[in-house]
Amino acid sequence: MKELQKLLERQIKRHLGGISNFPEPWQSFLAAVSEAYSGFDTDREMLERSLALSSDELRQANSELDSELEGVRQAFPDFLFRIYANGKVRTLVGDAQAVQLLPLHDEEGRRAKPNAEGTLAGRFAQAILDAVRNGRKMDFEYFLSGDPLERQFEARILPFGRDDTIVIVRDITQAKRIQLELQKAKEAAESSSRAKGEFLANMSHEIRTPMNGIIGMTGLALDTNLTAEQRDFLETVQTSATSLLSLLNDILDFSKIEAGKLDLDSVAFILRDTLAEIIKPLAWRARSNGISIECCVAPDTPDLLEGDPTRLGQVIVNLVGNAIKFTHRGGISLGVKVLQQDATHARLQFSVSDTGLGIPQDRLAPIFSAFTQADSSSTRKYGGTGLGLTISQRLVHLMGGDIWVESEVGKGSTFHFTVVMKQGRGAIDSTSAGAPCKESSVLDEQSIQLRILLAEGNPVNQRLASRLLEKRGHRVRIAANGREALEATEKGDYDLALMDLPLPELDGFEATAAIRDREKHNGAHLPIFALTPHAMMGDREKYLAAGMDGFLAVPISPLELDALLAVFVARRMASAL
Amino acid sequence: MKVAQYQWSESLGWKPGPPGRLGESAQLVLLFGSTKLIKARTHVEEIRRLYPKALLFGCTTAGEIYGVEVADSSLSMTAVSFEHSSVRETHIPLTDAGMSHAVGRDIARSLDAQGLNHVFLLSPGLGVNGSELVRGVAEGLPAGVTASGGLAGDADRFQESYVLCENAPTPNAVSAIGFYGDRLHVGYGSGTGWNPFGTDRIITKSKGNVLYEFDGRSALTLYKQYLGEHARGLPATALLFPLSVGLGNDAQRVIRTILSVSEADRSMTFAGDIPEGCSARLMHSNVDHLVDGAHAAAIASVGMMEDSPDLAILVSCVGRKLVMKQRTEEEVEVVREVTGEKAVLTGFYSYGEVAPFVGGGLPEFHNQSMTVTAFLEK
Repeated sequence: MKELQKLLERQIKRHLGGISNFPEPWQSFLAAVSEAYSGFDTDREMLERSLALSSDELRQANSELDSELEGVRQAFPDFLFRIYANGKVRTLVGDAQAVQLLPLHDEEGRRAKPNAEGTLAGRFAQAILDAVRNGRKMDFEYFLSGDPLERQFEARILPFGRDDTIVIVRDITQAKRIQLELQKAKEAAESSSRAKGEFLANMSHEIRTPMNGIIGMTGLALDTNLTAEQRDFLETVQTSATSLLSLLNDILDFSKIEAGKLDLDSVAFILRDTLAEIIKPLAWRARSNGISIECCVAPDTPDLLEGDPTRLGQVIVNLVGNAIKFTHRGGISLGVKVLQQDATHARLQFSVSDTGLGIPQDRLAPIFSAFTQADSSSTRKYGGTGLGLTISQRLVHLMGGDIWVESEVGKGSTFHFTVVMKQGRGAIDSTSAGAPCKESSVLDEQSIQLRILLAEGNPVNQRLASRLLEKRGHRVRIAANGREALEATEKGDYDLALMDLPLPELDGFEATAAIRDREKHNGAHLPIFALTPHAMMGDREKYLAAGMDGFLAVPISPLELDALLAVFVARRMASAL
Repeated sequence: MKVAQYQWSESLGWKPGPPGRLGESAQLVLLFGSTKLIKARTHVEEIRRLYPKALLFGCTTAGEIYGVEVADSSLSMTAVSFEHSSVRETHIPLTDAGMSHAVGRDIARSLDAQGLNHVFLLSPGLGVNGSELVRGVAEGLPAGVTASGGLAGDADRFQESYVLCENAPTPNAVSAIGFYGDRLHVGYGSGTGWNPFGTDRIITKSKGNVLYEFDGRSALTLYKQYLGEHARGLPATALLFPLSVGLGNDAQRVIRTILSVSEADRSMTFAGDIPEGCSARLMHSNVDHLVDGAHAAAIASVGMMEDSPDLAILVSCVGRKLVMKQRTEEEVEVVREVTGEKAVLTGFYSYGEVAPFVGGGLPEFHNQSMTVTAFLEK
């Protein structure tokens, strides 16, 4: 038989005198009892070891947590407290004095009761109560009275557990000071910027007045008898002054917008008529550049609207003007469609597409920023303030819309913009309402017939040139030699003379000199353009020196001819207005 | 359903008398025995002769259940004669633990799905990844059919285990019985009764069901510390501290029990997966808690049927027996209280248990649990 468990053996010895006296069944019974005794011992011993080991492990885990927390404490710039429901405060992060940073006590040194209207300590106690009750974070900013450092604190009160709070106190003195300084700096900058804006607006206005004088007087002077040289000088003055004025207008608009002083009109207008008026002068410019303009208004676009047609026109003129500037061949189209409308308002989208240079992808984004052009070299080449698109963007925003651009280098660009206009009241009464899609031919220019003198000796060239001109609806008088030309101009009134240079009897130069000579007496000026195969830059000076206004290369390119004719069509129309 | 039950032990022979009741009418004979008796095919020829038409199905154990008795070094034999149901047996070799998933899937598929009601399977207790095996079974089962069963045992030795295949003890094959017929009602449940204690540990090094490190420290060393002088009894004594493993979130925790240890690479092999990165806690228990766990299993199982069962197969973990020692039978008695006197109880102490968590669910692999599979023919 196996050895009995110690306690059982002792019990048997004491009470029964020893095991050897027992019969066999008792022996195996005692063995089972002994095993149970040992089992209990083993179980208890295992449990005790488990408890000891587990406690060790937990203590170690706890001390690791403690050292982590200590690390956090060292690194934590703020103070951390736990405020218990019974009012007891335990400092979690901070030294022994830290608790004095909490506004817990009234001036009499008593613990404050919650009071939303009361003293600092009362309000703080109320904030803690609110955080607990509402179960959410409360922020509380305060000064401590009598603090020699005049510090400002922010307490973040977080509900914790059932009724406790964790309060994080941060010294925000420095942050507040910086915030205040920034605020002051911002206000100073804004006021200075406003003052500059106003100054600029005033200055622009002041400059505009004399500038109008210059342009007006130059115009009047151009209508007087002038020598070719004087005319040339004055025309240059006029061009320069006009361009300067347009710059000033841009700057004035821009500064007005920046200063928030630009107010939009709200007047009733007829969209299609307005567009026709806007496009007309642009079409002339496009013509003189040898490109066409097409305007297409979607049929369902409302016609009678209320808004600021002048500012709408300004945006269109800017976009189309740019398109003309940057497009050397092809055409420009202006499309208008309605995006959505109800009884009171309509959102319209305008799109100006050209077949011009296009804008590189990386220059697209900043194109609407002030003083930006797609390429700074374009400022040199094409002029302009670089404000046009910025102004357009601001105007479009003012009109409740947006502006954006799609472009591909070498293929062209499309500028889209949207505006919200009020629906006009009353019946639509527009001559153009039934004609949704118009080409620039709607403009009267086609009906303007120029009187052109063609001085050309070669019969083939005579036929070619006169056919080109007549096809465009103009009246052509042919002079076969210089003398005929001289005679014809004496009798007839011509808008333009095209002068071949090698002519029988009098050549082109001689005939021109004779015409100019005669004009010295009557003050007239017949625009004379040389027809020449020597289309080279240097030649221009030669023709100008000879009293001519320019030249047209032969064989005549229809595009160049159109561009030239457009200038004179425009001039005739302008004089007709 | 008619059931006849016998027990054989060296000292007492057959109990309650010589076997033979039900004879040719028995379709199924369940035989659970000690490694020594099963390996020696003790009485197998006699049983075959007495029950010529029955399928012989069984395995080696870490303790045999006969009624409410739990015995070692015995045979627990139960002959079953169904009136309205039938059974089919199937078995597939499992020569490498890596095949566990595929073998589980294939064995489930090898049973005719037509009319299949329930599957009960027995697997070797060693050289198997129980989680993978059961996952495979779940994958291969036809819809609406689930499985229960267990892993064969080898007392507290963890050296060899056998499943009976074609009347022969086989160390490397999985065997399953398919129960057919819609008049057979099957209930199942599992319960544990273990409680985690101590700190949460992160499994920092493991591979499949082999564990190396917790929190960067040797898991084997930790177990040895907790076992003290009982470390000599490894791997069996490690059953006193099964692991509670959190798979992903806290809600889903499984109990893992140890199968073997290797001093060579300081590893511990568990009966199921121990995924790296998961958290684990040691667990402990006492007799009362374990008995409560068994009670819960019985309630779940019997609760799935309208009447007391005719037969219940109990598969309980060897780890529980190690804790309960002489009081082991208390957890069988508590099952009896639930099933009622009519039910014949058989079963064994195992190295792993199989049963769904809930009625109608997929089978799951358990450790340290008591699972009850109850049968009623109506």
